Amino acid sequence: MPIKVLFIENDKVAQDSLKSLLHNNSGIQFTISDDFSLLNEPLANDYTHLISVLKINNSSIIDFKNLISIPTLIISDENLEDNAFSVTKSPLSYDKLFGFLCEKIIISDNTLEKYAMGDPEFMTQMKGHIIEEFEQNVNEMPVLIKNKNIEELKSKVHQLVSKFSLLEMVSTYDLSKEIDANILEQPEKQIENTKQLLLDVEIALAQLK
Amino acid sequence: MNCIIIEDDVFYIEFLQNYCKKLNIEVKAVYQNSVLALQEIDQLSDCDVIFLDIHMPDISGFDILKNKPKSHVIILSADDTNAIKAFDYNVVDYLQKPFEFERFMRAINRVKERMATLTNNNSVPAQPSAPVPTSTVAKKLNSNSIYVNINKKLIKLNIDDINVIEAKGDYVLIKLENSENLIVHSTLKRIKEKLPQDIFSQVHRSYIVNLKKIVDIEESTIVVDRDVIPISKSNRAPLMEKLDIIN
Repeated sequence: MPIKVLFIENDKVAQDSLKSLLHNNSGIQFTISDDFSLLNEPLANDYTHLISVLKINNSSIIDFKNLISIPTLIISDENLEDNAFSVTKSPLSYDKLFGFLCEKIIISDNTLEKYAMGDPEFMTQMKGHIIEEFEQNVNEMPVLIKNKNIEELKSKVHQLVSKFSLLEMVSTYDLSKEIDANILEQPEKQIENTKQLLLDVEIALAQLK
Repeated sequence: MNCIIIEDDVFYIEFLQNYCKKLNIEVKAVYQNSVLALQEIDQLSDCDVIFLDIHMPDISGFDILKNKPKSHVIILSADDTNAIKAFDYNVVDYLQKPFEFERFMRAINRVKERMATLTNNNSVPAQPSAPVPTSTVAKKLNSNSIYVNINKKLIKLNIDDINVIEAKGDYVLIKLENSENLIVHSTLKRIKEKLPQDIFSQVHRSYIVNLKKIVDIEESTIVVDRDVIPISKSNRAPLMEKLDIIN
């Protein structure tokens, strides 16, 4: 499932600063809500992560903890103890945001281990190549996206498909197959998908390292 | 056994080198550049098997196949969309990346079988003509027909129209009387279970033939329509038992 974050923030200045922060990565889909009302709906169906201020008026995000089943980060300058959620002080930086997104593990070594058949050297070799390829894509794909270099994007995504399978990144694997199959016919739509895919590559890269 | 690898992805070059090492297969050359591989196509024939990637920049694996390398070819691809087209070039197997060692071994065993058949017959099995795209499993409805799933539509096949069924990796090639060929995602074993045993006989690990269509039988081959099909020693006696033979 592509990363989609629900931000709960009622302060307009803070909302603008969040939007400007999110310009750093166009692969992050998001919604900004002024209040906690969306928490009464089943969030997991629409969002992968929740980032919220602690309090809005007299309500606190903590009061909704039983309704929240997705990774949650609370922005608060108060010292919150005995709290199941991650907490960070304001203002939220891109590094803190990305670090939070990386907390949810999206890769697995199980398939790689199976293919390496217990050979640690082979395993290290495979991981090393995947890291190298992911790094190269993180550096090169934003330029290809910006220039709408469809052919080159298709070629890079095609080569990534089997790596997502090896790392058991199921939803990313499905997304990469969709991009590979359709990018020539639907460049605009698939470029948007490629931005989301690139975010998954960045997160997987951080977790591989 | 030895091989040549034509693959632009360094990951899969090393992946294959590791698997080859485990089976004592010598890697004679690696071409990361498909243009260079095509330029040296004659040298490519000087090996037992070529591992050939389909999606490469500049020149695709199919461009190399069109130049008919004499070695046995195992295709490598991230998806199965080209499987039907690849088998039209008489490739031995089609490995979808990533593949486990066990699947790799099966592909190598198929190369060995093909090599043994060629050594015995001193001839190359007839190349299949252009197949009609199909997918998934054949299904028996009654003793006179089977159904194959073609583009999510079950198509009825009269069993009398089937000449030969040949194993092609994870697919089977059904050769029909009217020269039409169908490729179905299934195994020879599954298809065999659906066919009447008095009319069809497995004559080789990779072939089932319609007994009514046999034209000629020699020591190690039979001719079915215009195809020369190998008979394995173990399958020869059961085949002869099913035929009316006047000595």
